[in-house]
Amino acid sequence: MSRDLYELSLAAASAALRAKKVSSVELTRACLQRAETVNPKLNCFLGIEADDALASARRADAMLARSESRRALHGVPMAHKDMFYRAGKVTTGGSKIRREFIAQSDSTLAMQLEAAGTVWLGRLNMSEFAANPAGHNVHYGHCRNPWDLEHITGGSSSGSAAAVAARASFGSIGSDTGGSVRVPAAACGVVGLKPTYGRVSRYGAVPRSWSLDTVGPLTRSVEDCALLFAAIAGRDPMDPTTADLPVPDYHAALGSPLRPLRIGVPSNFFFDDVDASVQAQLDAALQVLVELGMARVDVVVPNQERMFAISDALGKAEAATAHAKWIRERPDDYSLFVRSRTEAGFHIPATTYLSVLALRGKILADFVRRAFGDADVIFAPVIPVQVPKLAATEVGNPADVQRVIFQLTRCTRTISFLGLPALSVPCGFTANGMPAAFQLIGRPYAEKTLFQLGHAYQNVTDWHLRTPTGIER
Amino acid sequence: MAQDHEIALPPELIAQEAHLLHRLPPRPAGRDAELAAEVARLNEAVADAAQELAFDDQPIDYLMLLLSLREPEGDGA
Repeated sequence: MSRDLYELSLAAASAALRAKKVSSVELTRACLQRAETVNPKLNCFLGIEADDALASARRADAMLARSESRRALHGVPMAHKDMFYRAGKVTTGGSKIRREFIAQSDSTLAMQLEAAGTVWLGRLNMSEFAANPAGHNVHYGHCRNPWDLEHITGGSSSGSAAAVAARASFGSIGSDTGGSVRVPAAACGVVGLKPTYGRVSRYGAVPRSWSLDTVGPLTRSVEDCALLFAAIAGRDPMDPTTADLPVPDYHAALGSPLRPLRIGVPSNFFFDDVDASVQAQLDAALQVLVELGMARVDVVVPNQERMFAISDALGKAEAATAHAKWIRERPDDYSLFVRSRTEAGFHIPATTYLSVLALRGKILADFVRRAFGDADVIFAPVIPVQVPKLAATEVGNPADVQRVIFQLTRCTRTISFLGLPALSVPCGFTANGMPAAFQLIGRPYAEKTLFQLGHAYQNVTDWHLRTPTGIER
Repeated sequence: MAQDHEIALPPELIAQEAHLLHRLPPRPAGRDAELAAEVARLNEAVADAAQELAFDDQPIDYLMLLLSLREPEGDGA
């Protein structure tokens, strides 16, 4: 194969492996070399596991030679957010506190990826304890956006988005509690899926908020996303929130004719405060969907402002519970941002917390009834502003910084509270040269529909094929 | 949005709760006042929303609700 192997999509790498046109060792070497080349500028890897990855790739090749595996991801090398336990390996969660923590057992995610035959390249940077939507990490250094090193990656799955955009990993698993897959995916110009709450096991994943946490993939294309998601979706007895539903063949579904869908465009909240440059890209993307035969309908999405505030109470109360011991004993080992973001949770009364949980079902039922009454999928921005510079999210007037941070998750957090699936799809570039993206939001467990629609969009556009340049050391 | 409301709790209350209930270390100067405002904002937002809850509402199984609301011909249906 003549082109650089790391430039292949996950789907193409998978097909080449199964056709024996390339070996897992060759793909792994290409990714490792790419990682070594881009990491000095991007700081997307916290650890590159070259020896283990190559050993794993050799085992994968041996199985392929004996025709012992026909699994789609067999032999495909990937790196993942540093928050999934692997027995005997360090898992920092992006934190100083767990800098040397070695897990005693595997996360379900690690077991699933092992069973799928993937090769684990290394650990990717992330916001400390998945708690910063800008993606910052003061303990290991900020991850840099491959499209412009002075801009944020978004977070908390910062390294996942950057590594995938930089072609250093064929895909990556991250987590999304209020936007932590979608925001960095959007900021770095890659695809990201926040699945339905309960579709993917969180067992052995560093928690942020039990009621909101989801685990999802970041990839170069929707097709890649469908392939990777199929390997991790499904029931897990170790995570009782996971649903006992069959997992569709998401990849095969991409080849099925797409029925005309009603695309709901919110007439309130989501588009209220969108930057003109972002709006232009969203308008163009929506027009593409209409030209594909989809019907645009206006919808009212209820309770958004209300949800934004009350989900904050829920998330903070649960985060404070999880972090109570360390905040008590090692407060100075947290960044000021993360400690500040968590502390309010200690002062949320039980009655407030329980009220939020009681309200959640009512709000979800109302949302689905009203927003999806006339629509099959909701179309919305991911980040309503142009991707900001690092400096705008760190220095200056605290109120200004807070406003920038707030905007990052304005359009994602309420969807997490509802537990609905949402697919972030890149759709061009804004005036500052940074990526823009839309999200497709579905009813519970409608990931297949989101993949089909997103794939149809990418079949007639090429935004997902653009690659950042000038990131090599 | 609710966060624009000018509401606050006494910072001393937050400081005492942190110290007596949660045994947290002292915070930097001014931090208790910030937290008091944030906690008041969150509690007020929830209290406002909770007016929709009735005295005799039964808890909803959120996971079952998600299952029941999936698209009719969607995944796993």
